[in-house]
Amino acid sequence: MITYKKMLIFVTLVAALGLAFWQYQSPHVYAHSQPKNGMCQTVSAPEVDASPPDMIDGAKYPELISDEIAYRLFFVTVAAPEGATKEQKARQRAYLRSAGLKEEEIQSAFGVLATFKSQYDELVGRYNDSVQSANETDGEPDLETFLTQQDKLVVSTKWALEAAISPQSVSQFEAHLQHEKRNMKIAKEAR
Amino acid sequence: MTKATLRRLCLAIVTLYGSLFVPGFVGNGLSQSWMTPAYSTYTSETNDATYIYTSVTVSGTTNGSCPTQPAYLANQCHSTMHTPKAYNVLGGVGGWQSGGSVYWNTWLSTANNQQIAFDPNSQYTFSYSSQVNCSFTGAAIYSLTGSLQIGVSVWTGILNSSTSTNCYYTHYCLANTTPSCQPSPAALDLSMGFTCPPYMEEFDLYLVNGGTKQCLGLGVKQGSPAPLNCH
Repeated sequence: MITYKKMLIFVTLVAALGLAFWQYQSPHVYAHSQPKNGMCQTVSAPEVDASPPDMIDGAKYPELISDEIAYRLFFVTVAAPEGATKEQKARQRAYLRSAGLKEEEIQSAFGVLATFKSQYDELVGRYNDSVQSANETDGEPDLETFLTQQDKLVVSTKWALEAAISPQSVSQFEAHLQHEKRNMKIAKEAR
Repeated sequence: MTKATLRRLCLAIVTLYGSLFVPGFVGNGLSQSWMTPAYSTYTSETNDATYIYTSVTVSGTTNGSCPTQPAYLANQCHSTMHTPKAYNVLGGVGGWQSGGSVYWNTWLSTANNQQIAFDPNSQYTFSYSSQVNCSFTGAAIYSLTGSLQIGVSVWTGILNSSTSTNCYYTHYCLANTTPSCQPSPAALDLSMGFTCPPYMEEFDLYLVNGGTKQCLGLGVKQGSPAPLNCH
């Protein structure tokens, strides 16, 4: 027979366990929460760095960041579209100059990078359409093929760029990309 | 308090805690067991003779497969959306930029670019963050944050000699000023076909980390009709 005292102990135990679990769970939820901001609003940056524990920090382990990822991130960041504005071109020129390219080489690089941007956007768009179809039909998108195609595009862009510049600039460009890995942080699973 | 009341109270507490924690378990299960964030963040900075440029790029996908059971969870998983956001503030200019919401397992990529006209006497704070927010958990499943100080060093040289392809300059900082960074080999590239300007300026970006300046090298050179103070 359940006594009054036993019931009280049970209720207290349930309450204590519940509170303990709430304490355990709440930082995982609220530490990541951010205010909903629109485009380009100036607000304070989040205080909490919720980086995944298995993140590779290029500042510490640059050798663990593959060249394919490093070149892709650089190209995605620097590439301006065909018909770029004067401001976009000035930015791109600054990035390419600091990567070791000379002025006349930069003109050639503009074309190579505009082609990359157009092909990359098309590749990503095609893959994302296939993901949407797969999600609607309980299928599996073909991530492996997409990643292989993406790597091929990055490598062919690197070759095209290096074919358009002098050997000295190629050396400086490659050294710059290795140095830029210090500014990259990638998830272990990222490819 | 009667035993019946106590029983009802007990049942209410168990139900309340159950309703609070079951979604938590489910949420954690969905985000941690079936979904694995696989994103990359690249922050970069560069300059020309007028501006400092910064960029924050987040790119990648979430790996995993939706569960097939229970049905409600499978449905919620398939309709989960992820939204990438990049924060880039340089010297107080900029803010958040959000990419569109896309299905959780699509490939996403967003970049936030900022620029400011620099004063060589000043240093600027570059604050950055990258996030991917998940509609299922209502929180960020991927987040990185950091900041650093940036400045631009100015060096001035006076024309010393020239060949058919290069102009050579020697140190010529006015008023005994000194540059924060040593210039790279002082040859101004003449491949654009102009004659040697009497002076040359070199603008080198440097980062400040714990009071120590780290010069990034490969500064921007430009010809100048008059010398400048070095910084």
